[in-house]
Amino acid sequence: MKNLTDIEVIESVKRGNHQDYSLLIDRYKDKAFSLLKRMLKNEMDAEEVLQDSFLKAYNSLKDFRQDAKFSTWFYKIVFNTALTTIASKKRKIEQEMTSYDEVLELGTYDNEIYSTTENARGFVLKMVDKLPLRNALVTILFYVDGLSLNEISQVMGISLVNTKVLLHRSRNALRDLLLKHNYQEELL
Amino acid sequence: MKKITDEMLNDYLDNQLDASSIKELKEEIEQDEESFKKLKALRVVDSSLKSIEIFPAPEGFTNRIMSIIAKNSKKVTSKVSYFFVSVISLFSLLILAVMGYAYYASSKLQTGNQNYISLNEMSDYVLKYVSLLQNFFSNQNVITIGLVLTMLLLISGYYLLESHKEFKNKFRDLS
Repeated sequence: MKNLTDIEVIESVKRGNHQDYSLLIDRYKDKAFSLLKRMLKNEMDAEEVLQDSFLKAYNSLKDFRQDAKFSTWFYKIVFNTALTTIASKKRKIEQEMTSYDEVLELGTYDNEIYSTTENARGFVLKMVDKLPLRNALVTILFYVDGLSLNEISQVMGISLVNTKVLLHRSRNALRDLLLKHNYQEELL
Repeated sequence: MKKITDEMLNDYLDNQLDASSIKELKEEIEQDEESFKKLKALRVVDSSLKSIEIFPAPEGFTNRIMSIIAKNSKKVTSKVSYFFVSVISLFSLLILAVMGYAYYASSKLQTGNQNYISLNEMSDYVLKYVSLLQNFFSNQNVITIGLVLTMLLLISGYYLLESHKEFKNKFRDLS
């Protein structure tokens, strides 16, 4: 049963085997939870949005087109549900979410994090959470959830070029911090 | 010498360059220490990001979702079955009432040695009342009143549905 593809599981659920939906939940819950926790900065909100997303996806399975990938479709639901939650909580997120040309200012955190990390890898992993929301989302969807740039652009509703720019800028910002703190001595 | 850009380094990392561009980039990097450092650092960023921590979803999460789904699907099933049971019961009651009345009316008419009712008599009575109903509904006034009542029922049903939706949304916002 566990070897079934996402599409096969969906077909089974549509045939009336509702219990098979648990396979999809088990497949995506941890990665989606990681994304939401980073996006909402709150474990309870992340859990609530994750639950809503899975229920919305289940209730909309009949609208799911088989030529699409379930992961892309599902992450789009997760992303939009999270945005609705953010908007309803009236967090000042618009500024963070609208500009692609924002300068990655990580300088306020990097010294503090540098002083508490032992190596380049630990430093990079801690700095990811300090990236602006869009940059962090693209990075996490790319590295954790294994989505392609094209899929990420569909999930976030932005162009492929902007998605690529966000990923490159995030990596470049982290790279510059590694070089700034002379981690290159560790690298070379 | 061609300038090595950040975009080229990122594309190289993502295997987005063709064979000739890769060869060109490698040749350039050998002569450009700064770009070499950048590429090395980018590789560390890339390999570090591949090991980003995944936070496990709360314990029992799958079961919780599945129980909500099961609960909701039960609700839907019961709604549908109640509807059909009500319609079928009403229809059966109507048939029984017509038959009962037909039997009662025919038994009253029984005289002398006629102690039984034949099936033909029974169907005659049923047909008689059916034709009475037909005559009643073929009346123009009845049709007009029926149409007006149906319209009123549909309009009030629409407003009832809308107010129910509004109430549901308000309730959801409150909770």
